[in-house]
Amino acid sequence: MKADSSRSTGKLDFSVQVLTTGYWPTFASIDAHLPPEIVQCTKVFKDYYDEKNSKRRVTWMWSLGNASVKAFFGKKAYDLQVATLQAIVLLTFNPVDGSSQTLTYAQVAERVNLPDEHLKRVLHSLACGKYKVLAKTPMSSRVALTDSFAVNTKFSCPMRKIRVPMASLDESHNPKRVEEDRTVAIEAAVVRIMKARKALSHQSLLAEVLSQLAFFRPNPKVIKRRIEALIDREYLERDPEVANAYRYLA
Amino acid sequence: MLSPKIIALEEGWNNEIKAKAIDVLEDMLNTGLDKNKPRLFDPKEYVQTYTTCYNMCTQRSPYNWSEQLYQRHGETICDYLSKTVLPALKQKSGNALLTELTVRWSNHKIMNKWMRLFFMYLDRYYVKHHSLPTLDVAGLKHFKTLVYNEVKKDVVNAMIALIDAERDQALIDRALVKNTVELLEAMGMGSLDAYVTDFEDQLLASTKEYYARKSQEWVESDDAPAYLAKAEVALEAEAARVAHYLNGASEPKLLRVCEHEILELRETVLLEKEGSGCRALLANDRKADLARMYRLFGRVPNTPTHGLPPMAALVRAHIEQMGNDIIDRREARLSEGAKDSNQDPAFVKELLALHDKYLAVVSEQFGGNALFQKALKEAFVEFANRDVGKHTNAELMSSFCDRILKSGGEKLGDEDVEAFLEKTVQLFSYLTDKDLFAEIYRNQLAKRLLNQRSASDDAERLMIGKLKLRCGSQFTGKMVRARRPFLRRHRRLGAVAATHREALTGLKTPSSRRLTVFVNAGGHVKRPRHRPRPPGRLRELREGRLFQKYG
Repeated sequence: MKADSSRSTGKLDFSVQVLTTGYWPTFASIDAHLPPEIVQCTKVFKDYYDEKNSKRRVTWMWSLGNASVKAFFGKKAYDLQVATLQAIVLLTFNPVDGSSQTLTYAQVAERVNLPDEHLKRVLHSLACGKYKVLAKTPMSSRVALTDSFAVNTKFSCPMRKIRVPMASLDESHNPKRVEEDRTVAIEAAVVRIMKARKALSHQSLLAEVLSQLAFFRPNPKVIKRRIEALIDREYLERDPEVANAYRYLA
Repeated sequence: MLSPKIIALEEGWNNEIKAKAIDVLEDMLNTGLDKNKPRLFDPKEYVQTYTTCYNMCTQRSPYNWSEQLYQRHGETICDYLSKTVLPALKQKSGNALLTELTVRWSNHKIMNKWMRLFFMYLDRYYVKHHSLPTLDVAGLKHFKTLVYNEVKKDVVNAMIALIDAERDQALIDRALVKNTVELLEAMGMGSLDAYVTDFEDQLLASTKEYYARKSQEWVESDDAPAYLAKAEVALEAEAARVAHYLNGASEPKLLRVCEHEILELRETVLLEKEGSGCRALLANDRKADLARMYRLFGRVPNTPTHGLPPMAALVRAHIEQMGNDIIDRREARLSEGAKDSNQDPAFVKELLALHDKYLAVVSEQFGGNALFQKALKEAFVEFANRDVGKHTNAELMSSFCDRILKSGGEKLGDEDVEAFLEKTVQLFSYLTDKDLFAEIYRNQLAKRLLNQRSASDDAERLMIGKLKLRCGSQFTGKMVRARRPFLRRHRRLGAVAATHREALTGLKTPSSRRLTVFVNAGGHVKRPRHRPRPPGRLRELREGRLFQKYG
């Protein structure tokens, strides 16, 4: 991979998609060391955005982005369609003073500052996938902390535009989040019912909660725990006269 | 004015009324009616008799013979019935009895009619003043007490024998039964009492006995579908029987007795019959037989042990078993070492096919009956929530949708996509963990949108619309709002891209890298009041700004 130092300050096509936090699933934010070109772009965008929306905070989600990287292997140029994280890792392999570099895993990790679980996957996609744009020593199908990497100068491919796939970083969903949503939904249902009824026995409260919750069926024990939490927070109280009954505290 | 000559009772009766009218009438009835003669008596003959009667009734007391004439009218009929009709009937039995009775009855109707006409004047005053039965009614009553009550037992037995013969495919004279039924109806004197107590009760008893015997035979020799086919034919035949020659009021009672004997009492045996019961029919897709089974047991009143509920329970058990089989197969595959991925389209398709199949059976063969819809639902709820392996069924279904909606996934036509989505949403409605599905779906949707892997905007909208329809807008709100900027962007993308290309060609700078950045931030973006100029050097940010503007 060869990149002219004069070109490295060249223009980037740069587009931004603003995702409103509440509407989108929560993504883990990764704090990566970015190449200076991208840092500059983000800074300009952030200044511009802050000027426009002073009360909003921009968080960069590098794991969601995509990039198209132009790479030279010998004389041939390729367009690599990669994820932003892959692009960041690739850029560390840019030749320094005209000579290509070989980096150990630790060196790469230090330069990009990605957590191991991510970096391993990224390197795996670049060195062990279908398109081996990086050469790994020793050759194997797994990435070890002791491996070292260099640009695969022998790389060639009949197509000019290549999509280098990478295994997804996060799980399809966060079970904890579902759990939290349920907690909130149960508590909301309990309060709603008690606000209307004022006083209710445990059994009928359970039955009403179950009939109100359309999207899932909680365990009665979980409901009981939520009721207790609401008593602690003084939404409800145990009825002093009737056993196993609650009263709503306005 | 000359007062008319007083007519003495015996003189008038013997010389005029009896000799010229009654004897002639009886004679005609005994020898058979002359078919060619439209009326039995000419107006002239009749008027003479009527006049005599009139005169005898209008003479002053003590020569007013109204009472005597009324009595003799009754006596004449009674005499004729007990001396001529009854002995004739007593000699006969069976079919011949019915034939004879029919003739005698029609004769009696004629006799009664003419007797009424002869003594019509009695009806006008004497009967009214003394609140006596009219001549007509009196005539019928005499027939009832003297003839009908004497022979009714034999007659009813003969009728039932005929009906039983017809049930056994014999050809019978339906008119004969029909006429006898008419007689029975008339004997009720305006109500159906005689028909019901004398005939119908016995008919129902004999029907019950007949079908108890028949159904026992069938149940021993036939399998369930053949039995039901015979039952349906028998029920239709009974309904036709009522239409042909019985009183219409008998239909519900008669059919009820048949249904009770043929269906209700045999229901459990039939539904659970080895190799041909309800579950065997379901397993072998015997659609016509299932439809018949539904039709027939639908006639039996629903109780927990009879009618449709036990059948619905069997349908439910069958579907549940089929579903559990699919889940078991997946479990077996996993335990044999198949990869436990969140993608198992074959498994989801199996479930969809199962649902399709029984949804069709319920709506076509079972007429969309609520009991069966409930059975289908309960069965699916039972096994659709049975998760095996690492990934829940909700996740598998959501991933299945992802495959369909993603470009480069299943590669289906628009209609197939829509059909699959519809089916998946139907299956989704059985899940208890709908929120889990929503969470996973939302994540996958986010990935599709951000990576621009969404195959069709219409399909995405369709799917969210379907989910919204089932679960309300609260359920899909976040999906809709996540998609919104992309929709506007797509709409404007043409214009934006063009502007951007112009800017780039204007710059003519060698660009070695392209960088795309997605930004996660809070809140909606409003059009700024004044537009700050982006720093001149980074004109590439224009596109970012344009996206901001339209996002």
